[in-house]
Amino acid sequence: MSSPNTQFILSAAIGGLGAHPGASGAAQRLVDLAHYRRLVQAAEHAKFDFVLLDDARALPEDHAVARLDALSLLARLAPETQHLGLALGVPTTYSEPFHVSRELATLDLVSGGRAAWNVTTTATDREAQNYGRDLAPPAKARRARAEEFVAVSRKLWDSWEDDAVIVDRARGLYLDPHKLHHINHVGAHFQVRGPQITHRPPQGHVVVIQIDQGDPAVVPSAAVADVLVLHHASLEEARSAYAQQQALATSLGREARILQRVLPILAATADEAQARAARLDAATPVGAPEPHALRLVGTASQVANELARWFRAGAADGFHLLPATLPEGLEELVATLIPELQRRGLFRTAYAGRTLREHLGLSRPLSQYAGAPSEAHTAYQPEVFGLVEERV
Amino acid sequence: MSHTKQVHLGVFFQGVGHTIAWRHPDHAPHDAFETYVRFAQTAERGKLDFIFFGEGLVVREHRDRFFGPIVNGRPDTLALLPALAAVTEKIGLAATISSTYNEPFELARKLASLDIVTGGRAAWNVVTTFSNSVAKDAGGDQVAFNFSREQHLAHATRYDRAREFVALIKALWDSWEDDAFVSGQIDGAKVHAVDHQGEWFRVRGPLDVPRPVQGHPVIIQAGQSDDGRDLAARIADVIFSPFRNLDESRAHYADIKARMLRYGRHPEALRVLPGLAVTIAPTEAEAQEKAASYRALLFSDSIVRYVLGEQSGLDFTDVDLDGPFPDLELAHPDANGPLLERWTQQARAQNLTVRQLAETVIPRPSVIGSPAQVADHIQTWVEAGASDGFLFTPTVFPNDLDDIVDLLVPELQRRGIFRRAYTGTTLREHLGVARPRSHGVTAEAKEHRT
Repeated sequence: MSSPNTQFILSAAIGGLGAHPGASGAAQRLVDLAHYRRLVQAAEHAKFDFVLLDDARALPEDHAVARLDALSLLARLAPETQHLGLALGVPTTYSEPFHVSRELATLDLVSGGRAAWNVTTTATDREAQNYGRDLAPPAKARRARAEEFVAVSRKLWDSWEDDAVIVDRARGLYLDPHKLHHINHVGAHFQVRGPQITHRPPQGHVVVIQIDQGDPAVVPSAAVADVLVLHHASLEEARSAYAQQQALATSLGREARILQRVLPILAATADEAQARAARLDAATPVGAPEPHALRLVGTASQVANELARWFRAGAADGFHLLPATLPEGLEELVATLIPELQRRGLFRTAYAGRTLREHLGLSRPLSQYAGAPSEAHTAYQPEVFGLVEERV
Repeated sequence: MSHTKQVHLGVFFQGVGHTIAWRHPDHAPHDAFETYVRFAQTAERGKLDFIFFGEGLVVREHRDRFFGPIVNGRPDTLALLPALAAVTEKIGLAATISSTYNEPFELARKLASLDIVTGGRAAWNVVTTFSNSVAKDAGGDQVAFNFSREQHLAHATRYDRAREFVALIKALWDSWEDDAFVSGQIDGAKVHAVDHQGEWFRVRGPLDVPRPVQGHPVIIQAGQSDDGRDLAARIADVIFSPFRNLDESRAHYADIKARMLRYGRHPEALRVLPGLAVTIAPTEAEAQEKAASYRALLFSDSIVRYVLGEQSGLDFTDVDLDGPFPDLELAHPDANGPLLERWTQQARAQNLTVRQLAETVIPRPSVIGSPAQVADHIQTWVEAGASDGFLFTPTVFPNDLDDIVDLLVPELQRRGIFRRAYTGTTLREHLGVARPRSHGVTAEAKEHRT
């Protein structure tokens, strides 16, 4: 189903020193809570749907930047914000769905239904060597594990029905045992019995995001994710991908929101914006990869024109904005581009809902086990493990 | 200032398995964030050292059915504690996390991050995860089934893994020197690989998160087995213990401190905190009345059957609770034979019905009284060298924690044995345990390589 919205969905990346490889600054800010507080406050002020904090699992070879665990940071900032969606990158290559789905469900609890998960894989050998391996698994294997990981996580979120806790003091029942379910998942990468030990998250399912950010192990699909963040160089390609993914979602009875990745470089005049872009390009280290995003250089009005053109052409439900530098780049977007979009009626001026699903116009899913008989009594058959050929 | 020995106090949020609390009409819901906010803020109002959460990695089942009459379901502590740091300023935040079902690099960065975003208030209670059934270790297989494993690790193996796990995590925290940032940028010479190759783990490092504010988050251990005590004496800053008898606790205290000396640690570097279930009211009579009302909530038929079954490994579903203790199949493969033998002897010797026996085995408040009476108990134990303080386990929340904070704490403060205000900002400062220096393990790691 295509989005009925007349307004953009907008999200912003808040990790690192900025999306432009020429961005620089004090690495120490990346391990400072105050830096992230400043970013989420700016984003909430602008009424962004969500911010995304990506993460990794190794110090880079040059030891140039460190980080803080994205879950710890966003959980710490959740009570300081009211409406802003909080998305984090959680890799699937060396982690367990039982842990990750629970952490995300709890972020959803402490934020009142604002959690989202960018499903990533761990691609570098440096990271593999922090997890007992010499080499990262090939992309195909990482992708298969990630996709099964999401399926298991959704089952675990559903393993408690919404109304499982009844606190029936008269009957002496804290919970209704028929509303918990073993998931009995047996797949190529995971064998998980369940149920989860954490109640169903406020949003039913935490919003699942997949982003095309150049990792061949992540191929965003409406069959897996609720929000797809794509990158296409031309509007035509973007429109075709949009139609294809929305058709897939419809055929599966699912909903999808599709965003394009945009790296805006803004200034008061077009010339100044070009000069700023040139300065960043000149500061880019030799050999640094091009940012995997549509680069838009100009005034707020020019960039708004271009975004509106893509949106109206049916190429996207909105945009994932990658500030060229942080925190300044985000604050500039908030000061110039967002008011321009709001003046044109293309972006909200106030939050209408409370949860991220409400911001995105995504329905809250029912538990896939709702109404099913409780399977507490079903036998679990770990001997099936013997049939599993290979694990990542 | 008086040089009276100061008491250290933590409080446990009783979650899964709790049998009494939820049946009380005032008890707060376990699935609402506001409940945890109030818990943390109340404990901080009482100037307690820390709040503490347990861990469970399976939903409790009983006789192959999900069990309705007890609290089930809990948030993830590593996601909950940073949020609680946002609504408090000083209180320590302690999480129980398994060394058996986690990756050391992953947990090292999470705990380091927790310590940094809380300003140095993190603590980690190291558990190796045992069975959800006290009676049979094999019950731990249910945990394994949630992690794509066929079976739980055996006890000795778990402790073996835990020793390497904790040492490696400490090495990862120490892979950054304290002063690694110079003018806002990382000084690469102060960040070191760990290059760990052990029996259980291979980790290159360094950590991608800087050294925690406390150097190392506070390490807590609670195992009572010989392996557990040994691990605690080597690595712990705080020990939780289950003793309710002063002499037993004093012997345990002395044993731990002696083991510490064997590992070259100063005995003052560790706090021993027995668990303490208190029921406090302005007068002793009111406290007894409250305790009686809790007992009435506790001893429902289903709870009695559940607790006896859970502890013994046998099925009490069809046993007559008001009849004599029955002959049971002590040799049943699921049965905890020694425990059942003890119960049988006790019931016969004291002529107890099944329900009466249950009353003696189900945990319940051990100290009931006025604020002065409970303060006497605390002061006696601390002065006798049986503990450095206590871990409170309030029954009904928020009521019982309110009573601790509003009635007991002022009494302890009047006696000059508990702080009137936080004097430090980190949990290590609250507990009076030193911050580990940053170069120790690095030097050790270098030795290994030569």
